[in-house]
Amino acid sequence: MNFKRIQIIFLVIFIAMDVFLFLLFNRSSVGNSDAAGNNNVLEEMRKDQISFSKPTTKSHEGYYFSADNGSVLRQAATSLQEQSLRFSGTELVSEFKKPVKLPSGETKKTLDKIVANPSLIARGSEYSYSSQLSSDSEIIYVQRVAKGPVYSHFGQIRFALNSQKRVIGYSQNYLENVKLLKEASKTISEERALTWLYQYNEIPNGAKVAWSNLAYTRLLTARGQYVFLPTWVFAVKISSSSTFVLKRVNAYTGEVIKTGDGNQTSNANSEIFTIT
Amino acid sequence: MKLRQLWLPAGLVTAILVSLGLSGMLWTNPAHSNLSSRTKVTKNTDSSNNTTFQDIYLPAQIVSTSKTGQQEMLTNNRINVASELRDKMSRFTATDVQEISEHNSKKYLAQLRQKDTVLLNYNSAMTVNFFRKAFGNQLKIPNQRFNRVQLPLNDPDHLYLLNDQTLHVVKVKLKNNHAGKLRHVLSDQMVKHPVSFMMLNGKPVLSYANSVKLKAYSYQLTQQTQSYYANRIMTTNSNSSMQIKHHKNSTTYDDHGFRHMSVNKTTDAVTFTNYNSQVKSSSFVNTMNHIYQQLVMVGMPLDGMRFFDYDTGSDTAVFRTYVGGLPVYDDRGYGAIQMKVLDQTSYQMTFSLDSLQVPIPPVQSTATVVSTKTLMTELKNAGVRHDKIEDIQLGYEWTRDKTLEKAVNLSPTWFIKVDGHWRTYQQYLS
Repeated sequence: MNFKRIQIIFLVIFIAMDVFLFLLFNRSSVGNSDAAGNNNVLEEMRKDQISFSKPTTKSHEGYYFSADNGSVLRQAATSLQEQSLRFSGTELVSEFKKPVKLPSGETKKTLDKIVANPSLIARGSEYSYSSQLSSDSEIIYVQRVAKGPVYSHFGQIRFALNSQKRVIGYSQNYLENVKLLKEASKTISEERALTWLYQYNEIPNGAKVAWSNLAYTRLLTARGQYVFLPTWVFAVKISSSSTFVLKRVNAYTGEVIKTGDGNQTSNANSEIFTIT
Repeated sequence: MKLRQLWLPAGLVTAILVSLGLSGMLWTNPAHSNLSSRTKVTKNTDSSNNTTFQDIYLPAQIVSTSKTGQQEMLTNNRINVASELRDKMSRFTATDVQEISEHNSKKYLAQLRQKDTVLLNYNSAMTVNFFRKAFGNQLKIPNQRFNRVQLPLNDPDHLYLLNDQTLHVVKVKLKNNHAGKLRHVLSDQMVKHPVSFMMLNGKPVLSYANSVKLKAYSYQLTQQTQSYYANRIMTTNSNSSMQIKHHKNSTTYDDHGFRHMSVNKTTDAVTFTNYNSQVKSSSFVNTMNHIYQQLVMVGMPLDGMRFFDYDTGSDTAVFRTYVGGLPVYDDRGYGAIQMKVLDQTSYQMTFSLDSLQVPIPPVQSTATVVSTKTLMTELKNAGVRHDKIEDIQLGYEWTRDKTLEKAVNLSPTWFIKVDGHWRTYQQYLS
């Protein structure tokens, strides 16, 4: 065998080896960081035809706090104008004397003005518009407590729309006596929450995760006070249905907060409600 | 013609070089040796552990001294002061060490009272290597023991390491320290309690001149099941023939090998002994890291759990639940984890199935604790010998609520250490 042939054989062998080593290198650098585990789960989710936008890996801070629906709204309600109102328990239910027209594309702008007006909405400055919770028939403003939005009807204003897209009235709950029960603590990242939710079989195949947000959810009631904690809230849309179901993950422990049958809007004690 | 002759050897040489380079990268890449971590991932996800080594080994207490010399113990209802300070001091490097004083309690107290400083306290002695890991700094000075770190706010180029046991003070020269950042943390609205240092049987302790008003807390009791721990820590043996025995007061689990667990039915106390757990070396930082990893392995909730002290005599580390910057004590072991290193390969861990996870509104928002002077006179009147008192500390007492099921009330009170045991001062008075 001449030298040239030996060189060619060696060249072929080494090129093959290079390709092999390169593949090996590429593969091993995938399983590198801690996030790799979550990435695998995310990949698994994609294989299950679950659609979602890429979750963030950032950790946040949140509080445990207690609050109640007390008499602040009742006191403030006396100075409200251009509406007829009544109380259902601690909830303020009001009907505008003239339905408010919402020009298309200016829903938020129009309602922001109303909410900011203390003669129309009590304590409106503490609420902010939530595009995530709002729907065609209802616009929701959430109260902001302890640096976060409250995704619970105990701290919300819900504007009801009629078929002509006019605001006919609203119902409001206000959280007062807010007390931080513990200093700020770190939450898990959105990615971890999402992967856990999936691993607890809360996201069926083919579902769509429309949005997610870190928001406060009521965990329990003790000594007459509601106790809230930060949760990752995911809006899951099951392929066969047109409604979103809100799934909540305890942002400290990663546990899925179960609040009964997720599809019932009339679940009196439930934080889970559906929006269409 | 020449080129054609050259391409073959040149190609061969590049191919060889590329393969050498690639294999070199593969060997040195830690990811490659870490391929087994993929199997660990599943274990990671089921543990809800959010607490890092740095979080669990935070200093127990923060004392600030103002420019006028007024000393205050700092807590905060909104933020964790200790972790905020730690995050701001992770950058500095050290260059030089200088000894200041030794075995002189007067000078030592004077150092503790130095104006315009902030003092980070541990209950027992640390090492420099440990401090470096817990704070993520670059302090490269001879390893030594200390339990307090003092940062002068007007002199960012130095810090002091103090040792209560030897009354040893060391001055360390720093680089890259930003006192402004520390001031920024301290300028946050704090809950401040006026304190001063006094010597108690040769040991500096914090004394409160006035009675102290502290926040009271209530928690919902979170109970973990026995089987959770049994599954987590008793089923690692491959032959997995775990033996379970039910006794009158307890249940024991044994894997016929290296692990043994017993759960007391009345107190919910778990004792876990592991005879197969190798520590790399017996250095302090290694031992602490090993202990932390074992806590994570067992999987008890570590939120709010912090290092309390390490007794070198019995090789026991104690971790306690901290609320509002103060530790929770209980004689039955609630709210605490005890880890006794038996030898290089075994340890015994004692903890409770019950833990405090979810705070609920307390019955009363605050409670008042008597001043140190009143405390000392009352103890004296009750017949507790002064020289028997090893330590005094403010803390929270764990009591079950009588009306609300599964609720624990934490009320602040004085804790007195006599003969190595912490008890409330009320227990001594009765």
